[in-house]
Amino acid sequence: MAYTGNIHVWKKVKNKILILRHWGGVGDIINTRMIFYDLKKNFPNFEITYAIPENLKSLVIDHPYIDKIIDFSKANLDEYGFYGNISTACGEYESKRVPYVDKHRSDIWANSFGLELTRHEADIRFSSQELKWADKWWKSHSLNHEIVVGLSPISAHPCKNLQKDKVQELIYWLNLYGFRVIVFHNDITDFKMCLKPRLTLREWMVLVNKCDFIITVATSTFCLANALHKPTIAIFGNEDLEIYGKYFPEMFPIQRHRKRNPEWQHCPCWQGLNCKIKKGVYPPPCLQSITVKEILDNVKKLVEKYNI
Amino acid sequence: MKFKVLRNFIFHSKIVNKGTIIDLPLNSFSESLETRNIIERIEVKKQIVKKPEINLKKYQRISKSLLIEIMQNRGMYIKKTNTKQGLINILKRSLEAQGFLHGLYGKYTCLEES
Repeated sequence: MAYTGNIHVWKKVKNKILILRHWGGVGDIINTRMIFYDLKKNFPNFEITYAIPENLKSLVIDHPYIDKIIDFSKANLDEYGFYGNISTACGEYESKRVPYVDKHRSDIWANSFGLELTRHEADIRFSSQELKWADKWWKSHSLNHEIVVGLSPISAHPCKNLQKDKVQELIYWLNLYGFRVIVFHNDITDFKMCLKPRLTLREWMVLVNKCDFIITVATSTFCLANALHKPTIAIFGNEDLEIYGKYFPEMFPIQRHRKRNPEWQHCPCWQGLNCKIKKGVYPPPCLQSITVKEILDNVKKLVEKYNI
Repeated sequence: MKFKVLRNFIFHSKIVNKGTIIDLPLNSFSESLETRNIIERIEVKKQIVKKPEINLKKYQRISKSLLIEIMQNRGMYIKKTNTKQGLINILKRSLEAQGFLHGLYGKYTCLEES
């Protein structure tokens, strides 16, 4: 559509693109990183601005294909020749298709403003200062010669969590096998035999990057591990790992999926609250049925495959 | 493993009364979903809480290569670049974890008194 306003304003804004997202979460913001390579490739001479919540800006601060990052509340749409609002695109797309969602979120966001992605990379870069900080942290906890597992057992929503007794049992087993465990979560006080650091978002990112491998439920650490291509054991309940992990070949999925487990014909249902087997149970039966042994079997496979 | 039952509950279709001392293998708690749900709802008090000392002196006396062999035979995953003391620390953690898992000492999370 041709611009019909003031020609002097048009001259200033014509080469400026704004991508807007009103909220997180942390994992989604990390996944949105995948759209900017193709955006820049298609519009190499355009200035690309990403507007997101102020407290999440550090998640994309290093992105080589984003020119400016601003607080979404300060975005003035008149300053841009084009803007794409990706705040609600996923919710609208997924809610119409559950339980047969067929697209990764990065593709849904890109398609929502007419872009096709050719490369699904998050292009995460750490500064030398961040890498030095991580090395120092590693050394201060005597981790340099140990095999370190990053564990994310708790999500923002209880329907995605691994049960606490299972988490503790898993931590004991990982220690028994000689691994050192770092548990990543804001508020973990009750797990034994593991490191429980309190971190900023960037510190969390660089420490996940240092781990030898990751064990995670459906939470931001999964998205980060995907972005960093870390060998990962992913434990999912109601969201489809075949879609979430579409661009994550280093992932070992653990999920009750209708394609592989006919007895779980309703799974994954994408609806934590409306589980067809048992409503209102957290975590849902499909996630509850996952055993520590299953996770440990996958740990062995992962260690062998990646020669850790 | 012996536990004191603090209130009535059903275990394997049998009613277990409050106050009973029961002897259960720890493995049975983690194996079935049904059992786990029951266990999560009950409050039991563990009888053994004393943590025994792990004697590591014998490992101090052997060579690093033998220590690596012992650890690998235990099914442990280690980096051979680690120092001997580093390896002993890992082995200590491993033995402690084994103690927790076998219920020799400490409190098992799902069985803690509420």
